[in-house]
Amino acid sequence: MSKYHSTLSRREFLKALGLGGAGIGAAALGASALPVLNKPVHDLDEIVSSSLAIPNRPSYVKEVEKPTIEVDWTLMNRFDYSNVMWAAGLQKALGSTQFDLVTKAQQGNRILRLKQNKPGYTLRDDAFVNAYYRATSTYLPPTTSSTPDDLGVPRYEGTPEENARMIRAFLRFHGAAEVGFVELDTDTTEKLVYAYDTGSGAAQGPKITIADVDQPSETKNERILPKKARWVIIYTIRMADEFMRRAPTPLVVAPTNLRYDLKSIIQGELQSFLRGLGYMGLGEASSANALGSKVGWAIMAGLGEHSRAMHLITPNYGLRQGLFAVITDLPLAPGKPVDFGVMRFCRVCKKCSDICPAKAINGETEPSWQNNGDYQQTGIKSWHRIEPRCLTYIREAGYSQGCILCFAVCPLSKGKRETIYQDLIRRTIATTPTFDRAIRKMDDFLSYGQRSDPETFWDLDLPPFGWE
Amino acid sequence: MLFILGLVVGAALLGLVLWLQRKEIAVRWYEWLVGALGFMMLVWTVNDYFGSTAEHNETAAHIFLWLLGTPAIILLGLAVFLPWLRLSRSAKAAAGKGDVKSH
Repeated sequence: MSKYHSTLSRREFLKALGLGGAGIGAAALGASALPVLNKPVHDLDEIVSSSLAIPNRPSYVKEVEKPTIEVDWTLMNRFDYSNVMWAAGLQKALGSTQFDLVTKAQQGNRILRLKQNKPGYTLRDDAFVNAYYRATSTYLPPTTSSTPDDLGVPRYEGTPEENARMIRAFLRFHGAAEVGFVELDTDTTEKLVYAYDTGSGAAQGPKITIADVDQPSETKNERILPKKARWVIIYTIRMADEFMRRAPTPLVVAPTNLRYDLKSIIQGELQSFLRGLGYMGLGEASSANALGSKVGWAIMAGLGEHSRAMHLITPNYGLRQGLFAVITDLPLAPGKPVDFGVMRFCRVCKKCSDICPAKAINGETEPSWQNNGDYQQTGIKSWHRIEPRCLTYIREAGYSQGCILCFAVCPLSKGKRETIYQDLIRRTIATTPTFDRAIRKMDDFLSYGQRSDPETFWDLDLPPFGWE
Repeated sequence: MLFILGLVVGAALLGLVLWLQRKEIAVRWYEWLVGALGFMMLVWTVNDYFGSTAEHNETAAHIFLWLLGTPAIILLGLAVFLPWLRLSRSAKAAAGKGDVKSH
């Protein structure tokens, strides 16, 4: 499996020869200019050698040896997911009495706004946001696909580089935007696997034990992760731009729900694919977040950089994506962290912090090692958010999640990249930090992040999934 | 898009050069430079105006129209005005010499 047959199209061949002029005639024929997915796919080799298998990274993104966020791995311990704000973190931070008041306010304000028929909070908005449906997400893979043993054939074998291309092509075909890989190392990236996985509601989930065993297994209280499953597949699913412009109304929850809906399907497909090849695919056993720190793995895989908002910023989509992961024993060529100026820019910009209605985003210029509570991981030098303020604001607005103003206003999260200006500022941020302050001011001047009337959403002619 | 734009620009440039040769109008190198800069800014203006409009950033679209479009028009105007000024001056000078000879 080390060599693939050629899938070079006539257009690519002419381009490679530098015979662009001959392309005029070829273009008239039309068929050769179609992108890969519009052509019939004959076999896996064709997908692996297609453009789907190549990271779609702009030229100004540079690979670096260490991530741009400082990490002290010796200070880091595997994290108990029940401590995060979205699990039991808010209750722990506020105390039971205050938490109960917030919960009552959440339901009360939801009904109040529905009765007021406030744009963005109307019954149809509310119904839209709550219209989600998810497949079951499991740690152990679904058993619907045949294994090589079932078929009496040897399992798939490829080099780590070939495998990485294959998985990237597979995931992008199934809807992922960006795909990266991390090799688990006991002293570093393995610490990003949760000590206790996501549980039901605020309850502590099963313990994740990394053990020298041949096969993964799980009980109600424990999930066994074999030591030989050394590779993390980390992938992103986009969030539609148009919703960001309607932040902080509940409408913005729709792309969040959609990415989790899609993840529940994509994860099952990936797990089945790995099973079909003869490898294990250990997934997130929750319809939401589970298994490990996805932002940490995405940074180590080179999908993007850490930001002031404490989310991942990717070169192509800024903050507008969700992150998901599967752990496997299929050897995969790991990526390297990248630098395209985000951490430098965040020091100066501070737009998310300025705009945050809950004042939850840290506005200090320099990041700090000091975290704000048990709900945050230790060992990273970041702008730690005051997360109880964030979630309390969202809950008091009447919803379980939402807001996303920080996503909406970030200068690196704007637009569909149809303007030269948007590309120019990204190149400038990556190469010339002197202009960072001017870029922030220009972002304000151009009124980027200006909010749209929530009601206009219903008249939009959106592409599938709202992905422009 | 860029390919079609390249074809149109190439054809227009060829037409311009042929027209200038037929009319025997000499254009200095810096006038070409000013014209090229003006044209590039015009392309930028048009692209970012329509791009921002497509992204529903109407305010940004209008700002781009004024911020980039104004210097683009000024530069293109200069690229036309400078050769015209030179030609009209040399025509006047030639007419002046003719008057002297007739005396």
